[in-house]
Amino acid sequence: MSTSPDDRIKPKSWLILSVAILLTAVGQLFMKLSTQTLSGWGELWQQLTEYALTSGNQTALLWFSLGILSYFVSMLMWVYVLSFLKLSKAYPLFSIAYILVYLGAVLLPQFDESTSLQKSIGIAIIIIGVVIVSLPSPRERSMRVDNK
Amino acid sequence: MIFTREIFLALLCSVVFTSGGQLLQKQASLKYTSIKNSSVFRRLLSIEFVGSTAFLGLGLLFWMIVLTKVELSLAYPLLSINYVLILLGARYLFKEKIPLQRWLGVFIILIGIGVLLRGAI
Repeated sequence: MSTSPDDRIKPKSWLILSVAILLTAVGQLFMKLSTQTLSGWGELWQQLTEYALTSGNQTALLWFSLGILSYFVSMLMWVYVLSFLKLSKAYPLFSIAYILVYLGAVLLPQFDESTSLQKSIGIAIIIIGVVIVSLPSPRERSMRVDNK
Repeated sequence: MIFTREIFLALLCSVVFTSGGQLLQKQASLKYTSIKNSSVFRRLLSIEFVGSTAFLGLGLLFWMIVLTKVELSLAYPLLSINYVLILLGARYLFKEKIPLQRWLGVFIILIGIGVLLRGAI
């Protein structure tokens, strides 16, 4: 290989990456939203077998379906992203989803969640850890230089 | 106390099934590269692929149980336990050589998880 895939990321690829990250976060927010209108797992199951869903549980299923759809589409896009972006770059960028989920959960009025120093610090430490996990080790970096 | 024993167990099941599914995907992809000329249909029906999909589905189910009780801003970052489990799987199931840097990263993720769980268990 004369050029690594990272050397030519088109604007379109960045768009796909952004949408993939956004959909990951949106999917989680939809899933959480669905649990908020759900009356209970046992009740939902009973109503499903009797074809008699209450409106709350209908809404819950709608949000859940949207959540699953976002989750599924984001996974497909994620696989596509990896075809043009190295894992060592994609993973750190993907931890933006942690920030988006946090912001969405505390800012959107649908969720009654609050920020706390504990959560902010915990998430920041996790992101630092993800970046360190993903970056190529010194040995891998020198191997890449040898290949060129 | 946000995490009851049941919810904590559901979280554990969620991450174990999710990372198990991802390790099975890896196993499936290894099989694809060793068998040449297998059709897409055959690949989709392989035990590894079907198993990985089932595992991911179960992981999602347990995740929904977690979400019914725990706020998303706390629960979602806890999914990063997956990184830890995947690294252990890569080391002990796939016998990959793991650079020290990656163990360090996973250790830092664990510290972050510890910070989040402090006072929540």
